[in-house]
Amino acid sequence: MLNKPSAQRDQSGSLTITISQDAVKHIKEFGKVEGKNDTNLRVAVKGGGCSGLTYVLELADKAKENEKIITENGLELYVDKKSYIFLAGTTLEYQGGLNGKGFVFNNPNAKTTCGCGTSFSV
Amino acid sequence: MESDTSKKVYFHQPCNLSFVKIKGNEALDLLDRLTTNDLSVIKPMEHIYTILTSPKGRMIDMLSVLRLDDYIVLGCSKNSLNAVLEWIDFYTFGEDIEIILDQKDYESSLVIFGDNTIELFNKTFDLDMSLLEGKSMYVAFNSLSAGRTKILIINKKFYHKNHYEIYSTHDNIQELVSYFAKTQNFDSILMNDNNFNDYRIINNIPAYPSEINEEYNPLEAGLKKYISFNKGCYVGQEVITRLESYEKVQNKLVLIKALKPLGPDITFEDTIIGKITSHSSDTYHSGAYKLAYMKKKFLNEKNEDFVIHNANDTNN
Repeated sequence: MLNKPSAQRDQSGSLTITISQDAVKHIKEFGKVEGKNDTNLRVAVKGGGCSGLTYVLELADKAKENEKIITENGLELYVDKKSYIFLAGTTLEYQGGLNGKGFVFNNPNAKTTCGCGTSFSV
Repeated sequence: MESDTSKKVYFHQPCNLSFVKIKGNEALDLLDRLTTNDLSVIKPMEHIYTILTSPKGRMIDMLSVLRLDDYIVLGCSKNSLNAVLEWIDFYTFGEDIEIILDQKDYESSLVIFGDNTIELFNKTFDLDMSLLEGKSMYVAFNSLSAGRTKILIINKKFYHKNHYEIYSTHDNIQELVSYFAKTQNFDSILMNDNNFNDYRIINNIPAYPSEINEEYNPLEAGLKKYISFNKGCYVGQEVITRLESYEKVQNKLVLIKALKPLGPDITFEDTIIGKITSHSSDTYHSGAYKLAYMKKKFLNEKNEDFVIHNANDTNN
């Protein structure tokens, strides 16, 4: 009844989450607005949203216990283990401009996404 | 059995329900994100029905959520409990939530309904109580086995406009059944599973798994009352809201009376236009009353095989 994701591997064969340079730039800028010159990012998934699973992004200083740390383009990403199962292979990008959507998760595990793009199912 | 219960009080002890306790600061929020009704509004001692739906908006089960001071009492069908727990577990990502399966405080329930129910409660428990829909209260009860104890009475208003339920231990519920049966001046009628099933069928009330299942959505089942359309996102919300907004609900749960033997599929000019989901018992009009999901566009077609009793009911 419930589908578990089949996590995607990158070209080197390892499971990871990547974040584009543009997304890193915007996260650093958001950090400065919040008064944090050296911020990092927590990425997670939580239950809920139209399609079942919702992305969570928050600025963070350090990893919590049992969180995986991924360093990308000078930014540390903190991901809890269960969220990581659903996010492995994801690229976090930033779409700016008038028609841009802001932060966008390109998640190969997501089979469907809701209309607003904030939730997905696997 | 007639649906008019004005002079009687009906009892039913469901054996197909499971109750678990859920503790944790984020328990209510998690359930709110997974189900159709707005759980964020309920306060301690309040009850609400809500429907656990799949991302496609189909029903996993209807949940009974009673919020107490320190935990939630979650009720669902015994046969869906594993699926419900698996669903909750799948969508739990580190939230502060603990599910207690082996709890004895509220292991059993007693359904009580009929116009004189409150009067019976007041006489039995020496009270002057009234309970609005969704409210609950503790009542003292002198149990033969456990001494002075407290039971929970909840106004659920699902099976009847005066539908209450008592939650307690299995032993206490058994004692209460015996006690109510002897209460003077009341015609206390204990309904067995068949009687109760007949009652819910002629009142077009869906049940798990015959009507509440992953084949249908809550709008088709007539459970719109238990959907909040302004609470925000929950699993299945986009589908359910779109079905409602664009009037795309395909089926409707209806009560039909068969005029001759019917198979499981209802056909019209070789097209399946409905599926029968429940039958009344052989002892009640020879099983002629049935619940069926019918294609809405065929509801007003003339048919010599059966009569639809609530084709134009606007509830769903």
